Amino acid sequence: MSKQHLVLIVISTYCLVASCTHSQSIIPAWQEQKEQPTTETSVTSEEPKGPKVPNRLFLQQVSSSSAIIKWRGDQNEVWYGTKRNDLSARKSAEQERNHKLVVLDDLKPDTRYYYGFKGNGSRETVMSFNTAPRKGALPSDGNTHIWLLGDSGTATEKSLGHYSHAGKAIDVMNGFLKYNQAQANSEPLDLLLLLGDNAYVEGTDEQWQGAFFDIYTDIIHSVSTWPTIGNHEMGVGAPFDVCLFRKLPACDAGPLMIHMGGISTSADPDSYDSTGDGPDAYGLPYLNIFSLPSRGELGGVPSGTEQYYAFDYGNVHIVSLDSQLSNRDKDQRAAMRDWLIDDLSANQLDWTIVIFHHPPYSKGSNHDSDREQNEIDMRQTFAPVFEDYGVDVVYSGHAHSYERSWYVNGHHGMSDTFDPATQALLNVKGEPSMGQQGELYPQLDSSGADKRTVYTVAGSSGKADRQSPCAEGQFQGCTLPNWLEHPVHRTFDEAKPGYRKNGLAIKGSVVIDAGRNELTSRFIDEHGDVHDYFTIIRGTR
Amino acid sequence: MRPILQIMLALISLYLPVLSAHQGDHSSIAELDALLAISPDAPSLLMTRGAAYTRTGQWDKAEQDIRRAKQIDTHINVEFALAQLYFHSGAFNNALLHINQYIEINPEYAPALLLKARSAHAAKQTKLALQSWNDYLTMEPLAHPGDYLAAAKLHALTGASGLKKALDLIDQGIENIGLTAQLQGYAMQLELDRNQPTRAYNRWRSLEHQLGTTPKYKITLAQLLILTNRAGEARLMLEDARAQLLQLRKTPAREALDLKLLSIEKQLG
Repeated sequence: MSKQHLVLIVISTYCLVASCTHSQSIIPAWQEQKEQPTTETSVTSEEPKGPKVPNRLFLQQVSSSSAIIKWRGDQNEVWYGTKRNDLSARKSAEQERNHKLVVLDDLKPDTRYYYGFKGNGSRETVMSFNTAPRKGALPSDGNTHIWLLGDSGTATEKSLGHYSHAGKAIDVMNGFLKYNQAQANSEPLDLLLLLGDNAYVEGTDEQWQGAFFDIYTDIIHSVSTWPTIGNHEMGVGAPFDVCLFRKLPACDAGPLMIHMGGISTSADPDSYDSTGDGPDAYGLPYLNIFSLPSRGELGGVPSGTEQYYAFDYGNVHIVSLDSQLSNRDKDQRAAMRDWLIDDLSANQLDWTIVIFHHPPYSKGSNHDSDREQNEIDMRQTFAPVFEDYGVDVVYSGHAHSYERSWYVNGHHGMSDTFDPATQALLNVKGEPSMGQQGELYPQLDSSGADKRTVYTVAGSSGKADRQSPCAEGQFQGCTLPNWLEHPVHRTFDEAKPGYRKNGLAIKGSVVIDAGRNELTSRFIDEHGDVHDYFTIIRGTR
Repeated sequence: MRPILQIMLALISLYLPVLSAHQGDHSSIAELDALLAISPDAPSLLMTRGAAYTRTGQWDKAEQDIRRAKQIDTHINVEFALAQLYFHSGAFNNALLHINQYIEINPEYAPALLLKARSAHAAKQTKLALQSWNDYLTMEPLAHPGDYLAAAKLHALTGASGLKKALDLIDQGIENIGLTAQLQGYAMQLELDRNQPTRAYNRWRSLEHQLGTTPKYKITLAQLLILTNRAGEARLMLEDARAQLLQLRKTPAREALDLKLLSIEKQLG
């Protein structure tokens, strides 16, 4: 291979990885404000016109008796009540870092509350949300309806000076909305779960605005958002000399170092660095933006850190683990595992859902769970806990595709050690069961124990990787021959567009419906079509 | 950031091909090898490959790259990278040497203080490790529960007075980050280690509102009741746990609890 050829491969290697492209969105004007975050900064949004709704309005920690409303803007109080035309209760805002917030308490369970911001004009927009049902109860519509977004943050991703994935996250959102209207009877969402990498590429406050708040605006003021930390939430990593790739005029003056988003290996959120010139003064934007229950505020055992947490919503227990930071340090990882065991031991609800960013099983482009240490650690350290303590479903992102496992137990090694005969639930034909139609997954196995889990990788809510075969010696920015062929994942009909043997290269998101007796998970594409689903039937003693 | 650098980087954003953000260490090393074959004297690439070698346990190669980067550009601060390398390779005293040099220049960088604490800890320089943990936890009162536990466990290894200091540190952690089962559960064990079963019982009871409805909590409480000579209450607690285990969905963990419960009952007679 010639040197020129090698250079091209290496450059294309880097170029083709769309997930990283935003490292070239380097230093737009907003980064000049790094040391002093302002209130209404947005790459793409404009000051709202018409009805006075604050910028960045979103809900946090909606429980059966309380809710947090957060926003940025001039408004200093929230008016609320249970009737749209009678917002008679009022609460003044507190300032928390660079957001305002109110905590509404003494709310009634499973009740629709309306709220607005009076006093700034004659017209007013009224928003609403439902409080959670009481612990263990179902929402009044009989179903906990949950939307999951993995790696959706591509709206702020740039390549060659252009937004490289403009509109894709919106397409996925519209696909969900179409599905929800056509096939789910427009059921209101109860929860929005983020699987990490929801603001490319460095996870700055401004990227959160452009990739999240400006896109899901009309959803997040009516449903609580629950995130997990991805690698793109954690700033930049090692520096590279640009002049090695492209001889720019500036290179005559010496090396030009740039820092890539998404490759930080730090376990400390305070080391968050958005540009490569040292830790940012205000720490990790993710932790500044979200108000997460580190003290068991909504059920779940207190974790003592917002990096991982748990909460209850009606009949569902949800755990968000930190595969990006805590997972990198053995003491922190051990503490997270011990906490998880305590938390799951205390959980007695119908269903348990776990989310974290790095998938324990994946053969995604650029992300191979046999090779990446974060993924290996999550599989070896945590998968046994999930199976021993009754976790039903696990969702991750990171790989920009969709993969969904069989109903498994006991596979904690590399992919070539997977034995479907002993580690997957088999159907009457002796094949791994799909969890569909006549072979739904029973929560309890033949011995009466709940010990199997379905693992889903759903990282295509902002883009989907495409087939691009690797050249000799190339491992990144291309697809290896075993792309989307992890044997722990269910098989697909490869004849269909975007379908691979064990996964889908299709943009989309996941919807979970958790009723009293059934939990169904569906993968919905950008057109609103369902490409996969499985159902677990709840077991009782 | 300096304006000139911002302008340069903005220019780069228009020209530069895209760089990968998602690299497994092994594959990134393969790519860096290719780049370094073309530009063998690029310090940034050497530093990056050195870090990747460190993460993959290729210590000699990591050191070679980092030191060569320093030779080429003497202005590069390689001390933190070397400290990480030596820490991960088990050369803890060397790690300390380099992290101290780094901290001299960057005394407020918490991750460096943390690495110093861990290096001293691993080097069995207990006094220095305890001081370093203290420095770190003072700078970062909202530290990760795992950091409080690591520091407390080191205190606990230093004898009876160390147990007390470990407990004080755990209490400090609880004050800073809130009552958690991780911290209080460890404190409960420490109380038992210093033969204070009543204190252990009280600490465990403080978790009742967090864990109190679970068989696991009740079985541990029964064990503590036995240690505080309250066998009757322990029996009732075990009966309660058994009844609950019969009601709850069976999991491998609950099956293990069942066995534990049986064993304690046998012990009670």
